[in-house]
Amino acid sequence: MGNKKLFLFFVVPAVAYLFILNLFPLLWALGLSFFRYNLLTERVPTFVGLGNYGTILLDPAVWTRMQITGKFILISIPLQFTLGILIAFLLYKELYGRRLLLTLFLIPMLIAPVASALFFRYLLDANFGLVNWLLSEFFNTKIYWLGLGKVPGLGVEYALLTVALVETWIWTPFITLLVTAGLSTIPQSVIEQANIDDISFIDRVRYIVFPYIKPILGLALILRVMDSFKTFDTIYVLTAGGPGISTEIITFYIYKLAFQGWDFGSASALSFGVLVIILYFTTIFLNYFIFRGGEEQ
Amino acid sequence: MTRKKLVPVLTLFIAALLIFPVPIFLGSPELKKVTLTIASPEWLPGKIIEELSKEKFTEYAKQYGYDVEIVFDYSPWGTYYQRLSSVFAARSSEIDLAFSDSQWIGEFSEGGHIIKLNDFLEANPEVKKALVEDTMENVLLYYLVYPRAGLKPEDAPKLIEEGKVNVWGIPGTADAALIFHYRKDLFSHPEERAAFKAKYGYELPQTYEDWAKVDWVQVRDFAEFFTRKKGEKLAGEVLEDDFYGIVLNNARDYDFISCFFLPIFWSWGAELWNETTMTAEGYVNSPQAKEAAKFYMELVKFMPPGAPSIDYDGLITIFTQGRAAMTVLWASMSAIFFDPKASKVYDKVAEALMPHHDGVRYTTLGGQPLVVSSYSRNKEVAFLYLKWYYSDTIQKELALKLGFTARKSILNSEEFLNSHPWTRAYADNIKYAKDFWNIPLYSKLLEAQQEVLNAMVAGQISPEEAMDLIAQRHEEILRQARK
Repeated sequence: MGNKKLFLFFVVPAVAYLFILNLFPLLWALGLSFFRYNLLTERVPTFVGLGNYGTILLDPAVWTRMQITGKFILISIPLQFTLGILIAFLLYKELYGRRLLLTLFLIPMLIAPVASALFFRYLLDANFGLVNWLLSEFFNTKIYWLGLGKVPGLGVEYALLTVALVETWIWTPFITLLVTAGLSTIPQSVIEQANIDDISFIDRVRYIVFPYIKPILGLALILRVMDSFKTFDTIYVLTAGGPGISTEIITFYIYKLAFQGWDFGSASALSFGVLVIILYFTTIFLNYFIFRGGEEQ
Repeated sequence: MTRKKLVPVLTLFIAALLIFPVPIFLGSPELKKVTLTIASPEWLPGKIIEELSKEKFTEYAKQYGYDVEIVFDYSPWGTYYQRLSSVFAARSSEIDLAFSDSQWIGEFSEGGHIIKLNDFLEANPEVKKALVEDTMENVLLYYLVYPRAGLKPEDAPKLIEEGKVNVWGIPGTADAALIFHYRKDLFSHPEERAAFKAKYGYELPQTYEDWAKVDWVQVRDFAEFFTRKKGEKLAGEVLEDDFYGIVLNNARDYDFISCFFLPIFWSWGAELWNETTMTAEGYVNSPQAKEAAKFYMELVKFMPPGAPSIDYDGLITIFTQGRAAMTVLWASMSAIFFDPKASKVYDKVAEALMPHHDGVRYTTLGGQPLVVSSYSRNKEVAFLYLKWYYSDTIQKELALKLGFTARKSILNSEEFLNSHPWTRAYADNIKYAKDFWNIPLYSKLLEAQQEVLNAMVAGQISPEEAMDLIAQRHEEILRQARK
């Protein structure tokens, strides 16, 4: 088999796979976004041009969901990174049972988000939940975790904070895992030199650890931001988007447009809007953490 | 084979021929094998119907030449609409029949997903007769008829009889009315009764007849009176936990809060819309509607904490754990209140008519019509199932097992009224059952209403703002329908 044939033999199946499973549905959805189409009641789609895009841009409901999504990401991602990095640092030291601890820390990530959310829903139940029972027994207080009360000092509703905390519980191990992998790439000689030079902890983190883990943190950030935009199961089980719309992030709204209102045109248009936002953030993160990070190294 | 052995073998063979019909040995007449798939919400009534269908319909179908395997396709209530509508949107033949919520009839019929049953009724006069002469009028109209704008329940039998309306199903699970439940031990406790009279100047209701006279405004008084803190006394005992006056389902999922809010809303004389002109403005935000919403918020004050998140699980847990004095629940779910294994108050619960307001009484219509999928490959057997399902004997057997029915003759029978603790209240409540929209835009209207009512209960917006917002959102949605 010649080089060209061999090339085709390996490449064509991959390209076909990519086209059938990724590109074709994407193009189909893009086409759909220019039509008004209710799959359940309208048999023939009506071409509306950019009408769906105009509608979603002018729809205050969309912007409200965008704000909720922003708040949700701004709470959950920093929490996940702070905890994930801290745990990775703790586990970086040679401790007895370090591997077992790392495995235990990974458990939340291995549980289906639906199961995790259900578990927390019962734990945080206002009337029969274990958390409130403990709070009531020891502190004579109760918190309505899925309610609209504002969290002191944060100004967000408890319901949104709870969803963000549950997401943090699920995804912190992912950050821990990646950062642990990043830390393991620091050469032993560099660490020994830092010990000899008696470099302070802050300087070690800033000049030794951070440059090594920066690309991996960038990758983690891209993945987590993308995933946070797509959060669905946790919200569906914990709050169904409520109370009111307080935890209804943009993906949940798209789901409602598509599968409750059967408005596939608007749902597709909004999905592409979200895709553009995600691509924008991805490009920024790639430039800052990975491409520029690579140049610096 | 020796002659000695041949004789008993031959005798057995001849005996077998006499006992079993020859065609069985010859393998004919052939029964046509059919798998009949029925979509149902995952709940106890579905399981009871499945069991009965497997036991009796399979035998019934054999008379018509079918060897039927019954398969129930269950989905949880919260996602049942998505499951059913996805199957229909995909034009899939995986389902032959479905228990469809009454409000979905418009969407499913306009989309061509379910079969109009007018011809079936003409071909099966016994089913038509049972519908027209022996089925509650409101169930007939709300479960079966689309379009129904401008029609009144009392006109339904005549219109169906004359074939002047489109009929899309038969009553499937006629869990047709929300029922009021209360703790009879508390309402009849002498100390509580005396304390209540001293505070409010009138007696607590005690008998079924007393409750029939209760106005929702009084329910607020009862709720306020029975709401107590941990450490206070209730019916002579010191409370180990907070106790609440009333618990209702306020959750945002599917139609949960709407079902519990609407009996009050309608009893205040409000309407969701004008069905003929398809307008919501001035109806759902009328002064009566706002008063009803304000009253609902009065009740929320006496509900357990986290009221906006209380769903069916929450409501049932709170009530069965003895933490609330009153609640409202569907007949299909009431059994758990009387189950000693699940309920701490199994012997302390009683039912009543839904309260009225100034003489106007409503309850929300529940239950599902049974419809035939247009994409079914087993339509003949599906129609056979409808005929079997709505026969007198099966309806009676089901009613006694389920504790609810739409058949008048069964509703009025002593056997039914004595079959379950809630059946009397069910039979009285069903007359007041009313449905909401059943047009194709139903799911959008419902979603907007659920979102706003839930936000109202959470205290995010005032009752007046809530009703205005629902009107505004509904007008935007209905504008599409008016085009």
